[in-house]
Amino acid sequence: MPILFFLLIVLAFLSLFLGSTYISFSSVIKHLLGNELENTSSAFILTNLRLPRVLTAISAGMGLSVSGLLMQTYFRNSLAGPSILGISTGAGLGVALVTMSASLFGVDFFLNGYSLTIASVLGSILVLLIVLLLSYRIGSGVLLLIAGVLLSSFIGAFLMILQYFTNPEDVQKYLLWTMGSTTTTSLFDAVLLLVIVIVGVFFTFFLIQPLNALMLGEKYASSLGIDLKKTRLLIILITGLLTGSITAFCGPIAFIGLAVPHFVRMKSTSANHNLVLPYTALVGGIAMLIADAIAQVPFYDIQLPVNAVTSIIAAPIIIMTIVQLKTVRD
Amino acid sequence: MGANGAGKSTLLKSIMGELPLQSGEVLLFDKKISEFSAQEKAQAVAIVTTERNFNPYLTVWDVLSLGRVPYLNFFAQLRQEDVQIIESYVSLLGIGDWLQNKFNRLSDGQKQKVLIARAFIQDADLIVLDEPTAHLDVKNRVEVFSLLQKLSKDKNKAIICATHEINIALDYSDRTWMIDKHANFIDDSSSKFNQEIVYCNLF
Repeated sequence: MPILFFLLIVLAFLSLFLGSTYISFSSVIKHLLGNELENTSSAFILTNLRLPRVLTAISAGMGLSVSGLLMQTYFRNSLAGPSILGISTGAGLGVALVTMSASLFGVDFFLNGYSLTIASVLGSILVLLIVLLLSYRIGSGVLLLIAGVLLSSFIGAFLMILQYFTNPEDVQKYLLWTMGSTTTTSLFDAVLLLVIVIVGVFFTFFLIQPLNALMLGEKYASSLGIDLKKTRLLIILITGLLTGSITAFCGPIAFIGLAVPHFVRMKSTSANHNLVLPYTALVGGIAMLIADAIAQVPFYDIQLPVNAVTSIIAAPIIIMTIVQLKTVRD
Repeated sequence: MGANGAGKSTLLKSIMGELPLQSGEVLLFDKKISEFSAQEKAQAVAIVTTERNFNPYLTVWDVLSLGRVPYLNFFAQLRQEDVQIIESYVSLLGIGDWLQNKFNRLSDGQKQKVLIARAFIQDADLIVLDEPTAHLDVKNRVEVFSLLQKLSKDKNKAIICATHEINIALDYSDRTWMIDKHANFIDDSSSKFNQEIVYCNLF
């Protein structure tokens, strides 16, 4: 675990060098230590572009992976995750309503950046509640995943209608957001997001025992003295907060929340969450830093949408997992 | 014992305090089950259900160590005494070779053995099993019951078990109860049941 933590720090540091402008090693060190740089444009780029980008990538990777872990354990479904179950789309609906409110309703809900975050958190909690209610009726197997995908396209339909009636500028703003990005945040917002994620992950550590017990299903968990109602509520609040706020800042980042917990569980010798949880958080941060680095397309003056990169990396991992799970089951 | 739908599982759920009672009280060691805190109950009653839809990444060791959940702090780190308890059952049941295997990969008979070990590792005074021999072949059915009998004697635990295995149950249990076809509850306190009595009353 210390090695992974070290790797995360190193990658985060290296990531500060990525971008279209060359900034020397000594300048970066100097700047990080709080010294004034002679080259003010380098200082500006580091403070307002690269540092926020790196912090946002780490927060997003950690938060989404931990959310995915919570959902996979709770629903006892290895393919559950924020993007599959429609949680991200729910967050997207919140964001769309706010960004397009002015041209749609004539009232601008976009008071400041945080109305976006709040709408997004509410949107994801709403969808989580619907998924939870559905899981009581249809169990937590393949049917729940299908329901999640359907729910996603159901909400997607509303999103399409919203876009149809909105002016092109707002639509473009929204579309850019859906491609995913770690670069649109200010340093203050990036630190805020990091704090939110750390708080969310911190509370997850109090769920280690319930999560462990839930791997045997709710009946066994309750026979082991777990308070199911409290656990469920905490899981919804944490997942909603993490997915919602990350999605508001970075757009609906695909697949990280699904692939990372899997990857960790495949490598882990034990399914105990006191091992899986910290590893998931760390690997999540690392994975997102790597995805973000690829999206920066080092040495070229272009940027790719982060969402395209995460999908390209994660989809093969997920397919591999499905194949492996199949052999575990048989 | 009782026919399908007679109410065996319902009765077990009531005993464990999972269902609201229409009348009466369930007493466990002279204390009402409804007055147990969640943790007290977990240390008093352990269960083995027919549920098998577990997390596919669980190893046998993971399943066994989950028996210690009621005794651990929030970080779920096994203490030395927990490991000793788990290892004592591992050697008692001879399941040491499977510890690192995924639980889902075991055969039905092996799974049942592990789940029974898990229930004992929970170190509750009462262990409740719902049809522990469902899906098992004849050899495994006898093995499960003789294992339960041996463990209950060795470890001084009470075991309540709902079952359709009339022959085996009569051989291995100290007491038997029936829910008959008219939904009457009959116990064997007056005279020990035999096969004939049971079949007449159940079907």
